[in-house]
Amino acid sequence: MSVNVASAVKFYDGKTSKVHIVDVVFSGSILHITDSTGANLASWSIATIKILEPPSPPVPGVMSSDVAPDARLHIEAGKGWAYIKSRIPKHNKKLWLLPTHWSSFFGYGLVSVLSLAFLFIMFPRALGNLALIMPASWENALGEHVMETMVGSDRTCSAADGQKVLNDMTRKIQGQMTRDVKYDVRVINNNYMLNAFAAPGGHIIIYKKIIDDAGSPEELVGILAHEMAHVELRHASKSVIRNLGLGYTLSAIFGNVGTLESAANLLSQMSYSREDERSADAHAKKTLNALNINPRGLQEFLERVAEMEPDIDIKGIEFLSYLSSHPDTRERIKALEQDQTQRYTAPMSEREWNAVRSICDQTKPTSYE
Amino acid sequence: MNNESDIAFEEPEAVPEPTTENKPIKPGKAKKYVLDYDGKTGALYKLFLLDFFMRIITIGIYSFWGKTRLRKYIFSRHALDGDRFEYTGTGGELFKGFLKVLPILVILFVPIILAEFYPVLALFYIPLVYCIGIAIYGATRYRYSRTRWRGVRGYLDGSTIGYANLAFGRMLLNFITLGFAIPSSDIAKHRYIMNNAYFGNVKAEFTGDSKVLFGAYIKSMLLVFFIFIALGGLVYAGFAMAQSGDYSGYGQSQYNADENFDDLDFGEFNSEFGDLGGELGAYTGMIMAATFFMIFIPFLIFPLARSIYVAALMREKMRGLKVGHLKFMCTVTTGKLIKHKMANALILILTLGLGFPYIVQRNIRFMVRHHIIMGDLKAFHAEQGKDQGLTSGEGLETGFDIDAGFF
Repeated sequence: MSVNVASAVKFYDGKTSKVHIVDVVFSGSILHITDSTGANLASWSIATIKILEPPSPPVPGVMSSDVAPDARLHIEAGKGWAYIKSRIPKHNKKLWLLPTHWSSFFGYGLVSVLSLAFLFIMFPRALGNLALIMPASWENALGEHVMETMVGSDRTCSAADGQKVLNDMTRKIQGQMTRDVKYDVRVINNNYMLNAFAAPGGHIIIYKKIIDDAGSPEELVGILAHEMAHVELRHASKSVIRNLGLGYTLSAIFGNVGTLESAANLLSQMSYSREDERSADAHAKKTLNALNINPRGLQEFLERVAEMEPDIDIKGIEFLSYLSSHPDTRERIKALEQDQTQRYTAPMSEREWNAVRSICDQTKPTSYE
Repeated sequence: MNNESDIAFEEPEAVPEPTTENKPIKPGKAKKYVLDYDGKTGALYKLFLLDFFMRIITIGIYSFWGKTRLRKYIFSRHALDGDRFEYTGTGGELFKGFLKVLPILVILFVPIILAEFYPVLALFYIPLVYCIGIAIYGATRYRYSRTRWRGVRGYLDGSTIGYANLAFGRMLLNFITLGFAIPSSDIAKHRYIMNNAYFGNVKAEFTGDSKVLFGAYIKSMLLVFFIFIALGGLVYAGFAMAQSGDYSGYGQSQYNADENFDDLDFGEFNSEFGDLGGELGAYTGMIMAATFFMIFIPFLIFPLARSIYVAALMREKMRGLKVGHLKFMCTVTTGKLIKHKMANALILILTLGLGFPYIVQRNIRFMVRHHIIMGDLKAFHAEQGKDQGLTSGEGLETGFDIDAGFF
């Protein structure tokens, strides 16, 4: 049975530039293309026919065949296109064309916004994870610079007994952690700042005022565990990469002093995100509980900070550690609260605590080598 | 035929020898044809918008497919003697071409970036500039081979290296001759391409001559030169006027009006001060005006002055071209070109760049309106020619972000 699907359409045989006006007839699974004299110009088996372009009035659709890939059959939308298309095997009419209806642009716009969000939010986050492969020597170099920027001319407290207690305590806490970091914990002889600070590479400073104001050794140990948690979780390195970008960080690491200094400057002006603070609190709490040390100390310290906050705001002191994210402090205190069923032991003896409290009886110039 | 190592060239079966004449049918009475273009501005906007969004979504990779879709649309909307053009390139081919040359682009561009620290690496500009010739010829070849009309495709013979050598040598010549060789270089480069171009088995032939361009070129350059002299003169006159103290009166009268100053008899000081005030004011104004003249005006004037030459070049490119018995004519004049360019600039500025797809539409319409094909297209006969055998295209061109033709 023959079906005349289109008449007076254009056919180019692909061999010459002659224009043929043809009739298209289906006979079984064969498409016959005949000109006005009735001469058969081509017979294409339906399985070999390919759709090259769909019709888009006034532009006709374009078909070709595997047996004559240079030949072109132009058929307008109304002239039997649908019939031929319906008979062509599926894989031959696959056209990967994205829709261009005005309505579909809402979709493109939406996906674009999501892509940009991914690029500028998720990607830096993923980039931050590169901190995981930052060699210790790189972190160390960055940390030393940050510390030099931070401490300035303040002296380091150097009474041997007190330092030994601090080091022992640090080692004890590190026993609960996984990173192999060479910690360097110092007390800085500064009576005005109620602050502690952790930089990449295990450099931690605690200002003397923290020890002076501390109601118990648990407070100091809590703060130490919190700062060590920042190091353990690589918060500083991650935020350097996120904020400066990878190239800049690499340049700093490869010893470009200028970039290293600006990285250090940035770190010393930056505060950790709430998320980082919370996770450092949680980590510290876990560590202290494992050591049978009452995490209540950390909570008490935060409570004191919360009371002081208006003051601190006026002074404009903003540092990496506790004093950031003011509205959050109370939330953090709440998160630290727990049922007091665990029996705790004192983190250090009376004699050791006294040694720490008098660590600033001797001081030396602060230097990072 | 120069077989190139990077192009998989398949020997086509039974290709008829190229002819420069149309032997089978004697051309009838020469008629004049223009291209018909029925593309819609709205459709172009959609395609540009699609490209824009998809580039964001795919971090730029979609650009190859976006470009292809746009070309397919624009080609299919061009018709000659009732038969539409077809673009058969694919995004995949462009992407493949880009991936192929990616290492080359890295080798070319990394030293250039590092040249900031190691000035000796600036020598890498030489291979970079040389590669522009390769990029242009490769891209032109790809586009010819992907263009069809009446089922017959284009073909570009000749060697890429040959063209790159020519383009590089001509660039040096232009430089040495202080630009006076530009018309002859432009024609020489165009001749190389057109004399290697085929429509099917019909060879194109280019007999254009740079001599007729030289006058237009000199006019262009003289105009640019005089504009710069005039601008320089204006600026200089401004400074001179400011220095002569013609403006000092402004400052003086202001201070004289202040009674306290009068009482204290600042006479001497006042006039000095007034001078200074006037001078400063005039200087500031002049510097602002000079900045405007020096930066904005040349940007506007230079392309317009060059239009004298560009229009002449466009006409000569068509006047010298023959494809079989077909001849071509371009009716662009300096005035029309300037009018067109100024309107484009104005549209772009007023729409803050959002009018770009409309500019593309305007450019196509302008070209279509000003090109005439002479001959008998009913009698014009071409047989299918060689297959270029390209499986990828335009790689280098992507890196240089130049446009070798079409639009």
